[in-house]
Amino acid sequence: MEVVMYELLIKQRDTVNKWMDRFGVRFGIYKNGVFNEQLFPFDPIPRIITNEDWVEIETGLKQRVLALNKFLYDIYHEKKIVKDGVIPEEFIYSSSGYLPQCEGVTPSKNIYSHISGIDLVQNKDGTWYVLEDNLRIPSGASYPMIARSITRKVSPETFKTNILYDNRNYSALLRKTMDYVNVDNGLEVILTPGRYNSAYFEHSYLAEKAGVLLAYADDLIVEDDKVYYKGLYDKKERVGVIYRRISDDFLDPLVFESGSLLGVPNLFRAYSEGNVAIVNAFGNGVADDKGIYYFVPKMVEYYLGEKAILKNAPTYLPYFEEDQTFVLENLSRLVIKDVAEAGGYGVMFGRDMDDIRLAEVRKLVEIEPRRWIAQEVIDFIDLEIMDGEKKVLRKSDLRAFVLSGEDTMVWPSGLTRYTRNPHSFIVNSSQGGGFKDTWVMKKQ
Amino acid sequence: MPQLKYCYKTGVTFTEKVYIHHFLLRILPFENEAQRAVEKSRYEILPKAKVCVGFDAFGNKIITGYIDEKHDFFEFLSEGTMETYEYKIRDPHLNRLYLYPSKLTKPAVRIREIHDRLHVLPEISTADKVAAISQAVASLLRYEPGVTGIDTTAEEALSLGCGVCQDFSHLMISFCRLNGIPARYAAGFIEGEGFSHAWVEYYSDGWWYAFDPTHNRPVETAYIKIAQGRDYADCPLDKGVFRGLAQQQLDVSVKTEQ
Repeated sequence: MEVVMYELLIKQRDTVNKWMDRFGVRFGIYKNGVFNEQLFPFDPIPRIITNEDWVEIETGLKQRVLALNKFLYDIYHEKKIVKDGVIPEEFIYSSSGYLPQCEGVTPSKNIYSHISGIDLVQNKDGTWYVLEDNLRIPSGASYPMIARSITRKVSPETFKTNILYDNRNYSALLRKTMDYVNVDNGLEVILTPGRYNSAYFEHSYLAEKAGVLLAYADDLIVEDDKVYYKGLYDKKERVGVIYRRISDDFLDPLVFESGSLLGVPNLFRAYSEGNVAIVNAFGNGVADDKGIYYFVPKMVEYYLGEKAILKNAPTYLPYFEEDQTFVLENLSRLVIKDVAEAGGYGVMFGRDMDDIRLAEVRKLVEIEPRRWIAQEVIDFIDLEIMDGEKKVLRKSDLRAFVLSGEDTMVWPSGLTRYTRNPHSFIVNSSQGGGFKDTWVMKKQ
Repeated sequence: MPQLKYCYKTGVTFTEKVYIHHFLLRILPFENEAQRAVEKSRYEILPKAKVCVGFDAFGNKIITGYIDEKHDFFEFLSEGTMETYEYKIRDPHLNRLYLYPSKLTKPAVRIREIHDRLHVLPEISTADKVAAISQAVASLLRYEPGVTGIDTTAEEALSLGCGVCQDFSHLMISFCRLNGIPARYAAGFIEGEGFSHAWVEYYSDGWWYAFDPTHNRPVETAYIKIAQGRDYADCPLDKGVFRGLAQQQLDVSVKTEQ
């Protein structure tokens, strides 16, 4: 076991936090209709991933994301996986993330999920499990990136003694991915909904670091089925790739939600004509639906002819009769998730429910089986965090980032989130958790 | 076979000048076994705009365009003469999407309750099932403009007990799909009405047929289809977004004659 020294970081944490504050490392939260920006709490103790673990995670993630990209292409074209009976068609057509408008549309270089955020947890026996795939707009890479920049400045000694992968290259990987799918060598932009978005810090930080333009919907117009950047000038410049941080529903008011002021009218048309790359593509929600999650290991086998390297958490689909019986009988020890919800909402632990509530939930599952999944509660490892001067243990997960361009690349770091509440298992930052830097160790 | 001459015209006037105006129109008729253009359909858009013509994933012809300059009116017109035949459209590859609920047709508690009481007999023909469903819709909804809007769901219209052709169609589609009959929303023109109309297409043995729940009758001929989708939201005839603060006044007319 390698000995990793991070004690200096604990001593220097006030300085680190001051810099974080100065750089505006914030996360916006809407609570009771009011927008509040708060510092995203940073814990100085890094999460350490051994090289041995990392090699397996990296190989497993590449495999998983490759299969997910093939699945998305298949679903919006021939749907072989449905025709061959691997996935019931209901899981496609009833998914809120499935967009029939995307049928037959092929994105630039055939890539759908350019930036995939895969959430993992490590069980106490050391096994890593995938909890969730995020293939729409996974956020969070900027936080460990800036944390590393700051800690390296404040505590250069720490990074001299430890041999770990640099993670400040995320923006370079992002840029490489955008370059690869860029259509007709046009401008590259990050499209932000603006400063009232929870991840606005990230949008502006990534734009700066990747050397691409930060654009608002008003800056972009579609003419002749092509996208142009208008910005401050009168001269229009052709746009080749848009890393959009606006969800599908709001991205084109003429095709999706009409009321949206955040979107770019007729953008979908330009995209479907192949005149602009959208990162990530339209319609990816069909592949990161909690119901579809169950089928991901089957996708790996179906498209790649390989066994999935990374495991899913043991999951039951009440849609299948056998699973439903099992779920109804074992509800009190399972966790139930609403497939339509995200951000840690719609998650219910059986062990926290009294008999009345259990009966209610059983009924919900019986009425709309397709809406729910049930999972075994994974006893994932606790990580140390600093609580004042004390080290305490908290639950945490890891969001790994996979970038798909010419090659599939796994960023050797990730966003480690932890719960602040000692009894909570939900680490989502929308729920007030904090984050850590993630150190991936090099081979010694 | 009846020939129908149609002229669909919409004029929008703005109280103040608007600019950066993007639009997406579905105003050109389908060409299929049930309807053929006698002469090429014609359309016109004012002020002059850069437009592109293409298809969306539902098979609709779409016109997208952009007007940069300031303007205080927007007008589009589509006209032509169609020969119509028996309303029956060949489709050997059913898109199974039309078997599943969509946003505006998704059944909730009331639609499910009524569906359970409907007792559409499984052994009767699809056409008979559809007629029975339309009969039920006719008893559940009263035709009344101005109460429902473009975002009203089938479930909401049912609670209100009234609506227009769009609501009748949504409710009928919802019941059809609950009965395992693939169904889709169709919009276009019929003779004599001053507005565009909506009806339902249902699938049986390789063909799409149509039923008009608002008039509670099967569609035989003399309907011109210009848009289709899972529900209204997939295929509105026109949508636009512009910049500028302006009140808009809309003037729509459809003239159809034999």
